Amino acid sequence: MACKKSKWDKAFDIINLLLMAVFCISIFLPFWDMMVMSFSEPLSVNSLKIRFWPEKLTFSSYIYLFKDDQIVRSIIVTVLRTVTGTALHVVFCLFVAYPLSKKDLKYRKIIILFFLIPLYFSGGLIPSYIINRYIGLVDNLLVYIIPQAFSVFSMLVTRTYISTVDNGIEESALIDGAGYPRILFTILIPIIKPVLATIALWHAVSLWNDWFTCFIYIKDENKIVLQMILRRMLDNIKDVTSDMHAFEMEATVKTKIEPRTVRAAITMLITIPIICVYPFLQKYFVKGVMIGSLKG
Amino acid sequence: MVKKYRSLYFLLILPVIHQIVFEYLPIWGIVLSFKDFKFGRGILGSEWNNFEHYKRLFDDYLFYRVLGNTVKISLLNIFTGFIVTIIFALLINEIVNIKIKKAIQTISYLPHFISWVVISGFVYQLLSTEVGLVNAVLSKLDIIPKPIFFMGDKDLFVPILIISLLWQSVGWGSIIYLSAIAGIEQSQYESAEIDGANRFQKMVNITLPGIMPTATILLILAVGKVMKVGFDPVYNLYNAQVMSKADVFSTYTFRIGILGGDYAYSAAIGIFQNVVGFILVITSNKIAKSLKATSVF
Repeated sequence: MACKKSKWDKAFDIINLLLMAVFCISIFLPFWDMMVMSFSEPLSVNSLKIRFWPEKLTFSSYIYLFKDDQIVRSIIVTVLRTVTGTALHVVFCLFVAYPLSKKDLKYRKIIILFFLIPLYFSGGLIPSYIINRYIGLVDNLLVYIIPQAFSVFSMLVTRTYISTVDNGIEESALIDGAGYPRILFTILIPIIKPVLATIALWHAVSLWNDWFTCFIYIKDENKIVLQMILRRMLDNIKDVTSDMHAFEMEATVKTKIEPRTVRAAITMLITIPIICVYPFLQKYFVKGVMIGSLKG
Repeated sequence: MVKKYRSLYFLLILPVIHQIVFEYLPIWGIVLSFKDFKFGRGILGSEWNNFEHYKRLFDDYLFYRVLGNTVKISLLNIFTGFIVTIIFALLINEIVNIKIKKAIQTISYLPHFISWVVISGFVYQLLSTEVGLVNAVLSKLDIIPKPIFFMGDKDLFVPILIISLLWQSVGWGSIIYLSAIAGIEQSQYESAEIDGANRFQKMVNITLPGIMPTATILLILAVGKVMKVGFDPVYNLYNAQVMSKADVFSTYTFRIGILGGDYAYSAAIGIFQNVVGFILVITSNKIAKSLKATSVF
């Protein structure tokens, strides 16, 4: 009986690991395929072949990228936007989370409601777009960081974390005559670093990945982000595959048809930073989800 | 109390202004859908037009197409995501070696952090008729005589979209189920072992029922969002040839509004979607809450 049981379990283990292996390969395959493309000779890739390795290793696509002024500029814009936008986001979320963590704050319920309502009902894309145009955010670099500066979800995660902090430290600081802002900056922030890291990372990734803001608000070629350049190249492939794409052409300046290898190199340029920092930071990402789900 | 926390109210000022400008002003901006909106005349200055945009809405055959596509894609996405994520969480949980388990989890979260511009680049490249790995493998194995034009086939768009969505979300979605599994009492497994249950039986008879309360709540909350199909996946994957099967609310309002300049009509569609969505979300939240209350006992 015992022997039979373990045989079943072993078979189950093997099938399970096989399934997981297939799953992991399916995650890696697209990245690998793209990487091989980015290191291949532009002319060698125009055929239907299985490529597990570049036929001839070359860096020409990457060199091409770094020689292109617009691409270099877009990298700078993207990096600056991600850094400043993330800093602003953390400050905004903290500035709301900290007061709301005080259970006896007057009007607390109303303030929470004020921040929660937009979660359920929003004006939608068009009214937001119109308002942002009226307040002068078109072609303004601030559009990259200001409209997304606050997020209710990050704020709630931060607040939940703050409320788990022992408030004995805070009370003794109050007795010593420190005001709340000083407590926040000198005592609380060092304690709640893990949650701040979590929301910072989430936001950094979403800013890094965002192309839509650039697509609808930025017309000046000097201010576009890296993802937008890739997005235009995607339109180019779609042009090849479909004869009518007029509606998109209105918004997208037609760019020259890039070789596939260059497109692959840009894709790598966008994903490699995320893949590189990701293994070290993923515990923060996951921790944040846990805090968030406890709340919900 | 107001005085004690005065400095804290100061902290709130900037975020409150931010919310007013970027959330509440757009909600007020909804009025433009009731007007003959001209950008130059402003939202206040434009003339009221007697619900013209809303009347037009119900005569627009594209509107019905978009509604149908949105509901169809949403439901397919919700149910496949629900089932595959649970299966994935159950299987991950059965991996004995902790290191392998951690490694697979780490790998599985990765796609969650990749943008849809990049993902659709992957899809277009893998399925390309000229350089695509999928076509290369299929022709090598003599399964197909000539390359299939996957991205141009109307009937293949929804499956490709759903698979891409699964690829991106399964690992990340499993986190919450794994934490629910961690909450199941060990004594249940021990007594099942005494009864001679094997691993598979324990998984089906203990773990699966153990996460069902969480799963039901998540499913109901997801169905509440049925009117919302993400803009990014569809917009980056579709093209003119598959439009009839792919166009959803978010892409349609974007195209006629931002690209086409028909702001007021596009806003009216957005508001229809938001109102229906709001009712569904509130209802589903109510149901989920009542289930949560009963499942405690």
